Amino acid sequence: MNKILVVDDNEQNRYLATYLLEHAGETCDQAVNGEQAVEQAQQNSYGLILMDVQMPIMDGIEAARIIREQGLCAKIIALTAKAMRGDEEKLLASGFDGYVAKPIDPENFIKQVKHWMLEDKIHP
Amino acid sequence: MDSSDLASFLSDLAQVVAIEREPDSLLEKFLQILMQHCKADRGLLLHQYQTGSMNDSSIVLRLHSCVGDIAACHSIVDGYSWHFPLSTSQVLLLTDNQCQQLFGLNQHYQITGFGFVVAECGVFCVLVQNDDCQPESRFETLIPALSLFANTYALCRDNQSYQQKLQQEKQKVSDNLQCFRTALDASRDAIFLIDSSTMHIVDFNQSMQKNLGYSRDELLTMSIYDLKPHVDKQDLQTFFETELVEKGEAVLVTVYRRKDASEYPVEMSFRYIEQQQGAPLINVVARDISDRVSIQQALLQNEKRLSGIIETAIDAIISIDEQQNIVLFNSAAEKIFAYRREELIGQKLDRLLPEKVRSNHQQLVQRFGSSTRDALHVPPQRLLQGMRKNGELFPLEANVSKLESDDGMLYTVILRDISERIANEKELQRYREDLEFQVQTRTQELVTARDEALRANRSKSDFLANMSHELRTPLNSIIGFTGLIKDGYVGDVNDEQVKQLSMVYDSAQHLLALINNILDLSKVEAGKMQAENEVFELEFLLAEIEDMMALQAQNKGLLFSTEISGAPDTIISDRVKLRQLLVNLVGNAIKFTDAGSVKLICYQDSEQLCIDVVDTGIGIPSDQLDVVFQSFRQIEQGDARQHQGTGLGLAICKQFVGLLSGEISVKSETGRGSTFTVRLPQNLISSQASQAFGGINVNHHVQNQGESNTILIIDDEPTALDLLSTYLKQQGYDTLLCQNSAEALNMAVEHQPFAITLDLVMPEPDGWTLLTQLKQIPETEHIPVIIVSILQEQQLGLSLGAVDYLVKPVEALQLASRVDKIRNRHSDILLIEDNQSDAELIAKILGIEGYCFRWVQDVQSGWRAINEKLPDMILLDLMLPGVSGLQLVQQLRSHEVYRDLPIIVISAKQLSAEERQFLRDNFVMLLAKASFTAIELLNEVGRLLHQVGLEQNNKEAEIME
Repeated sequence: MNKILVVDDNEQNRYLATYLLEHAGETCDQAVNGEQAVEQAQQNSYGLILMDVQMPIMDGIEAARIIREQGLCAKIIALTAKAMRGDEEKLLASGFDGYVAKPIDPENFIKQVKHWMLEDKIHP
Repeated sequence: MDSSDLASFLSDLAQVVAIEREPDSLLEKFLQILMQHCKADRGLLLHQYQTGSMNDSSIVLRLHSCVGDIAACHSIVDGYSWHFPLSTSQVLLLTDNQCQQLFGLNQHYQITGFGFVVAECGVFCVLVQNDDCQPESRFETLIPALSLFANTYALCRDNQSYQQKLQQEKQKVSDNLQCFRTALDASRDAIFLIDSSTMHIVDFNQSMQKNLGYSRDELLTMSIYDLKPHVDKQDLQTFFETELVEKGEAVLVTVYRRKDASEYPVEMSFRYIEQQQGAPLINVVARDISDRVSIQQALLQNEKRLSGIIETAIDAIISIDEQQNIVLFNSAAEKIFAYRREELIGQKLDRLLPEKVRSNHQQLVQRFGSSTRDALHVPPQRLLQGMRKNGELFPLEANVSKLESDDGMLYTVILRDISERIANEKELQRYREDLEFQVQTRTQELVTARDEALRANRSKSDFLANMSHELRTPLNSIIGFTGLIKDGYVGDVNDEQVKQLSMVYDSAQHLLALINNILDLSKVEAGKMQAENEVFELEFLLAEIEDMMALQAQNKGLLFSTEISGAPDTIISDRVKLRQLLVNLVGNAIKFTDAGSVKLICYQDSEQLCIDVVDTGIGIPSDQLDVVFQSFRQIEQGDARQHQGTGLGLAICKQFVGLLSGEISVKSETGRGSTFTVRLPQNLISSQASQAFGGINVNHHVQNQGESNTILIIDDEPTALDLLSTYLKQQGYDTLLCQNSAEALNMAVEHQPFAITLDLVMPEPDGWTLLTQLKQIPETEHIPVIIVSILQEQQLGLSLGAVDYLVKPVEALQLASRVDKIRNRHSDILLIEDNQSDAELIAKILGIEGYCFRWVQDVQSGWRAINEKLPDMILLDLMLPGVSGLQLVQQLRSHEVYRDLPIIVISAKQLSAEERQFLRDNFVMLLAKASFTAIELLNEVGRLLHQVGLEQNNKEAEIME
């Protein structure tokens, strides 16, 4: 089973996402910023990285780029409060495979994650 | 005398007669001869006489006499009726008696021969003859000689007297001549005579010399031609011949030249004088007429000038005589009326007037003439018209004057054609009206625009208010319900649940804070926030802040202290906002400090109040000090702390500081800490002054006489009890604590507090029960009850009789203000009433409940009062001077600020249905004067104030989060 890496500088957000995912049967790790995310991605192999975009030290976009570059993870999904028109394109262009808008809807969130995980399995 | 004597006498006599012509010397010679030959002197001659009678043939020669008085002689002689008067040479024959009488002889002499009598009246040769003797022959030769002598003498005498007369006459003539000469010389005119044949000057008066400057001799050489400078002799000759000779006199005006070559004008009058001998003379009077000429010229000049003035005048000048005939018609008149003056001089004036006024005009002229006024003004308003030559009528303005002259009355009218002026005025009027219309339209447009703007503004405010409400409502549920659940009120909760619910609760609170901040910021930026200044004590403010933040600091192990050093006790500021911003600053300080202390220090610097919030935290990098007060800017920190903030706190602080007319600044050193400084201008008030201030706006209450100062606090929870008590004690109230609700009623009865705070959630009896009880028994029903509970049952609470309802947790200020309202009726009522006795009545009623109010007598003053301080309520009479009460209602309700302001209209006026509806639409209570009772008024006032109070407090509560 692939682990999921949840990256967010906000504790509550991390907690919520982790809780939901674990309740759905997934295994999760946490990172508090982009830098940590890269480190952990280097150390572990994750099936999915859920990454907040706005973070101190290193933001999500930068981290995603490095992770992509280094081929550390196949799927990186953005968790973003910015959900205006145009942002989606920007995110996808930056190396994210998709995004989840905050505040996250618990049901939908799980569905989406399942979908991504499955995708991964189908197309490794 | 003998014959030889006689002969020599005669020859001598003949000689004398032949020679002498002078009568006196003739007589003298004669007498000498007589003496010689008669050998007697004169007196003795008498003795020669011989008495004898005389007859008429005696010859008496009257000769020079020296005897007697001629008149006497005359009378004597006359008495004898001489047949020729004695004045001529006489040969008289006298009788003896006559001689005696004539000569005064008192001897009777017989005279024969002859003798000579020298009497006064003459020398007489008397020949006396006797009547009866023949005359002696020798007398025959004597008589002719004597006659000759007598005649000669008489002739000489006559000649002499003739000469004398001649001389006299000559003298007379000479004298006359002299007189004339003087008269001639006295004349200033040059008068002279010329010989008509030679034209030469023959004689002249002194003025001739003077006027012309020539000497006498010179003049005598000159002719009349020499007097004139340019003379045509022929012309003059002709003139003399034709004019002068024919008529005998003539006049000529010409110019003379003086000796010094200067010239002057003369008027010459000539008189022809025929002479007996020689050529006729011409008498010339040459008058110097230079004066006359210059006067004439001056007159002419003057006339020209006057004429010029009249002719160049722009206004028409027309003069008429008594019969209305035009005697003067100037150029302007010609232009205006389109007549030439020749057409009108002598014509009647009314030719220039429209037909319909002509008859009237005559009367007017006469009336004016006989009146005492000497001028008449016909203003344009009279609409007097003139008529031009072509019949066209035109409006005019005229002035008429009159002049009495020797020829009768003279009227002069000066008029102008004002058709242009009237046209201009009409034009102006049109422009004005047009402008007026435009202004009105513009105003209307502006009014519309303004109303729209106001509406938009209101929408914006409404929007903001709505948004605030909309946003808070769901949050209310979130916070409320999660709060309840996590605190175990809804059932048991496990740790995990508590953890998660806490996260929810905290997030919701955070969101609420964020929303409040956004709202505040928007309000401030939209200019919808104002500083509401009050006087308060700095100490109390700091105490409140300590209360609020101490725990937070404690949790992080920080020391938190407040300090006043050198700042005034009492300050004027917006207490709420100041607290909010200080809480914000302190909160930030605590958040960003891990160890050490947070201090709040108040001090004075020049005229400013300074408040420093000093922390020993992580500090702010110097390059980020500028952006620190900007909205949504957060400092890049290496941790998650900023996310606990909203990014708005400092921005709001800055705005609030601006509202308070102050400044905010920061000093910081990374790793050492930061100091935020708030500077506020202060009209510093000392503690003494604040007391003298009379407690306005201060959270110090005014103790009404006879009223208790105690508040009964009913709550089963000791901490709540304590907290409320502290708050109230701070405000200077006395508190009575009741933890056991069962005792509450008795305590209330016994102590009669002026207010009660009542918790609801208590063991039996609970708050509801107690409330009902309190309101039922007479001893306590009047005591105002404030419910202080976590429950939100305001409606129920109020309907059961509570005057106020506060939701826990309450803040000191909240509670205090509610209690104040009850205690002091701190509500500020504004009474607008112009009738003194009505105002006094209302004052009395309000005084029963101890309400404070301000009284003004008209709307203008009312607005002044409202702007000074917004009242909590307005009591309004409708019938006011100037702006009416209804208008004020209109004005008030059209502004957002005053829309919720309670208004009670107290009016004597019978209002129409529309008016009543208007008041209802505008949420205005109506009480009719003379029909409301004191209780009714107080009830209404109380009710409305209370309602407003509740609303206000709700708003406050929301903002203060």
